[in-house]
Amino acid sequence: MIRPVLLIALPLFFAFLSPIIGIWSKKGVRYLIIFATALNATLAGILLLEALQKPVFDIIGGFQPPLGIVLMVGPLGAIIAFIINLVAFAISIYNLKVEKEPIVRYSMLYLLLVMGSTGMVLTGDLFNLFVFLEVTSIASYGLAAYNKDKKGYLGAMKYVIIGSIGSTFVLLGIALIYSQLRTLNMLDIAARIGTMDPYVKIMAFTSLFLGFGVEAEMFPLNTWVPDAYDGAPHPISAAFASLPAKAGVFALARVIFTMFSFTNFLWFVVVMGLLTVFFGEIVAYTQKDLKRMLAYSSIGQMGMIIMGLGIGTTLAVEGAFYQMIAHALGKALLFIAAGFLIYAARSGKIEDMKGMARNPLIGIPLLIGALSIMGMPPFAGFYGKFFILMGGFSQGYYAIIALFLAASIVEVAYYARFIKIVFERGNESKVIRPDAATYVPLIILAIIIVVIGVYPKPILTVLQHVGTFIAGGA
Amino acid sequence: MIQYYYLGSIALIAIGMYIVIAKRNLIKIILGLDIMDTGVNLLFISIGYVKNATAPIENVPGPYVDPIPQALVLTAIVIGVSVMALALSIAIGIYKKTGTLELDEILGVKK
Repeated sequence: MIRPVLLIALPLFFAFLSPIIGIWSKKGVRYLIIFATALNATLAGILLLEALQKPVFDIIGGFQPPLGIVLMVGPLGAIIAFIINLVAFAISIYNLKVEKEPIVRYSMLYLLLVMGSTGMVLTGDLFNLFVFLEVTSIASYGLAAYNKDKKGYLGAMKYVIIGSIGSTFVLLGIALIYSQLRTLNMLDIAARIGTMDPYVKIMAFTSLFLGFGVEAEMFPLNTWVPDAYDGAPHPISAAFASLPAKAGVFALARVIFTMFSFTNFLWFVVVMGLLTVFFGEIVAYTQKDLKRMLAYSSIGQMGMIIMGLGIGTTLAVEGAFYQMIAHALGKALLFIAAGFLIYAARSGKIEDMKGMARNPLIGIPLLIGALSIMGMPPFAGFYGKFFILMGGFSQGYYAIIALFLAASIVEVAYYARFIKIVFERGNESKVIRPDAATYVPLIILAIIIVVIGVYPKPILTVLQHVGTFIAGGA
Repeated sequence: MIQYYYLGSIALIAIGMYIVIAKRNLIKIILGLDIMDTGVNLLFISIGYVKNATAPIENVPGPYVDPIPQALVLTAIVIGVSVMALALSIAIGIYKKTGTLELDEILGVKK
């Protein structure tokens, strides 16, 4: 029996321990992050096993809910927290490659990012969710500008402006809900949402939806994504796609299902999701720069998740959660591989990377990651897309399914082009050997993708609880 | 009476939003974000306002104002200040790299 609050308290402790360790040994700090994230991933795994029995509620500071803050961990929250921490662990191995100083501040911000994203997933209190959103955002702003070049600063500035507007909207939504219901506990809000004035209810929902949409990379609010991903250091691009984005979309699911208890088709959410898919995939097709292409592809994938949430049947939401897991693993893998390719080619352009992935240690995981993101059957990405499609199909939304498939074809096209270039026979002499810090996280992530693709039963067992989640449970 | 507070806060949010969208100078945009934030904070405080009430302190006779919005706004102010500090420091970084804070010049937009 472990308390979920440890998942938040321990990264915070290690984050502020790192400057003290940094006085003695700069190298020690890097290993401290690996240790901290590994510990967190283990604890999240244990928490997942507990949450499968029954939802875990952790009352903070001895104040009983609905007055006090409570952490609410159902099976779905626990598995997203587990995946977030697992990917954070894989990325922290790749962090050993980051050479720029000051490494201590970098490590602190990275651990705060992990802590904020985990907190957003675990919390059961609306205002607490806002605080964790801000912790995540502030850490992300700092990390996006970490390279201290023009590209990094401009990307970070864009992120700050759009992110602050988003969090202002979240606060506005919280104020509207509080003005009517005088409570901030999510389950308490859910129980009394029917007594709200319908106009205020719609306004509050729209504000929260737009606010969390910034982190979830939803269509009109995602112009920061390519610039921030492109300007950030390579491990941080991987972390952005996997940690805050997943936490943001989980918060969105909390708003839709737990608090507002929408159970039927939400056309507004589906349309936003579809627009996001189209915007992301079509712009990604036109990109020549590898990291920008991956960033736009990430937008497209997040759009598919939002669509799955909007369709709102058990199967579609199950697909959305499967897609979250597959995307967190696959996109982190691709960004780490992209970091290596850019380092090897000394350029961010895809056309300069001819034959750069011909080393099997990089090439095979890269291929697995790309195929999984495309949604090929034996890999993790297949089930997510398949369930979203089936969910939509069973309800008869044929037009939406057709558009979804059209966007997926564009996605396959640009990934196929990218794979062809990096595996092409070319300048073999320039291919350099990767070191362990690069290929170990790639292999870890690739193995997980293959395992949950070939043997999806454990994940499906957890996702069975989607029914209770949609009905407003933890 | 309380409606005036709501009007004021909505006006502040709208002014801040307008500045962020329309102005092309980074410092002005950051100020716009701050004004927006202030508007939401004012809205939050006015939700908890009760006329002729006092702070909820023991031994002081009621009625009391709602203390939760005040606690939340204190948190929101602290968060707002840290975002502002970070935004300004990034603006300093941009100024050092490009020598200007006008977005049109930084991004090379032709007028």
